[in-house]
Amino acid sequence: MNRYFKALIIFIAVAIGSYFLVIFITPSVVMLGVKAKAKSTLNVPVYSDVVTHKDRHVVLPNPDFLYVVCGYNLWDGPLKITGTMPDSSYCSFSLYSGNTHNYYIKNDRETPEKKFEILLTYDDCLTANNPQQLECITSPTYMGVMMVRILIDKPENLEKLKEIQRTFKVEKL
Amino acid sequence: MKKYILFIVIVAGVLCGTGIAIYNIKYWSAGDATIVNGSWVGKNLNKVGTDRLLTARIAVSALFALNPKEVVYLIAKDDKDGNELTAENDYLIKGIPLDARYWSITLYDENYFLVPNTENRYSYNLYNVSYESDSSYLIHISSTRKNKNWLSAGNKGKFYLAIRMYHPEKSVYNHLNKIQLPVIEKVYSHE
Repeated sequence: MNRYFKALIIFIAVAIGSYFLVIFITPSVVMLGVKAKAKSTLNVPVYSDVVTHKDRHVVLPNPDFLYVVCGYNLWDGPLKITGTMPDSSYCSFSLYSGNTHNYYIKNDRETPEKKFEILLTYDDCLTANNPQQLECITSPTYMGVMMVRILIDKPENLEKLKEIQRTFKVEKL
Repeated sequence: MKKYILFIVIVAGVLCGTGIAIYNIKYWSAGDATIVNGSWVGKNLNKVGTDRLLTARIAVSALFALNPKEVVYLIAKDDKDGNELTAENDYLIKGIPLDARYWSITLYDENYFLVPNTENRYSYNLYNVSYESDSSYLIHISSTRKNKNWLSAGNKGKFYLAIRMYHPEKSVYNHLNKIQLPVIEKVYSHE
């Protein structure tokens, strides 16, 4: 009887541990899977074309948007991210940590000057190398993803919006 | 305890815990939703990042979702009568413009990807939907082409609809369970 009870306790403990481990690591595994599927280079932005049914890297793609996606790695120091937001169409810049959490977002209405410039660092912003005194964002993880969404409000604006899409750059400092 | 019994107990524990975790991540029911409005359900994404189960669920079923300050996401898996949406039927979505800076209704297959179709049309939004004279709109979901506001769900299998509301008005945020959302009605069955 004692032996069965011991086995039951071990079974429950292992099951609970496995349950929480899977819950905990799933976001990071999903993120790694997306990076592997996308075959993109870290710290190099990828400029998407109009999304179609052929795009199967990320679930629930929005066909109304142009995207700029960049997997980042801050091991070698901070990154400077720049770009220009469109005058009227919706646009947002968002950052996701290694466990997929959207920890930062800024949209076109919050960027009235339309010029977008930030310093992304893993270190404390107070001690980060920031000679240009850019808005500084601290990433909670060394690796993560940057994503820009630009709404294609009218098909005739597509080419102009593609030019705007290409203004988003990522540079090592 | 003999070593092989211990091994079996540990393997059984790992399989059980892992299986329950995967099931919990993958299959969340309307009962888990914090927003329920007709066919449309949604989750309060404020806790993504701190609520580990919710973070895992979003990573699997809505990766790169934005925080709710920016956008409200709602999903429909059933029609107004509570029956699963399937490509074997035709549906009519009847709605009025949503109170947001930008809104859209997008159709996804059961794996949450876009469905191939001859028009490369996967969604309608406030700019490209054709409105009726009373400012409402009707969107047809059918395997056969329609003249306007047509979305294809393919020929077979389940599908889902997603509403996105970017920068919704405060009244929308405060009454997500009550605002008037599009009604999804089955109009024809090919079976």
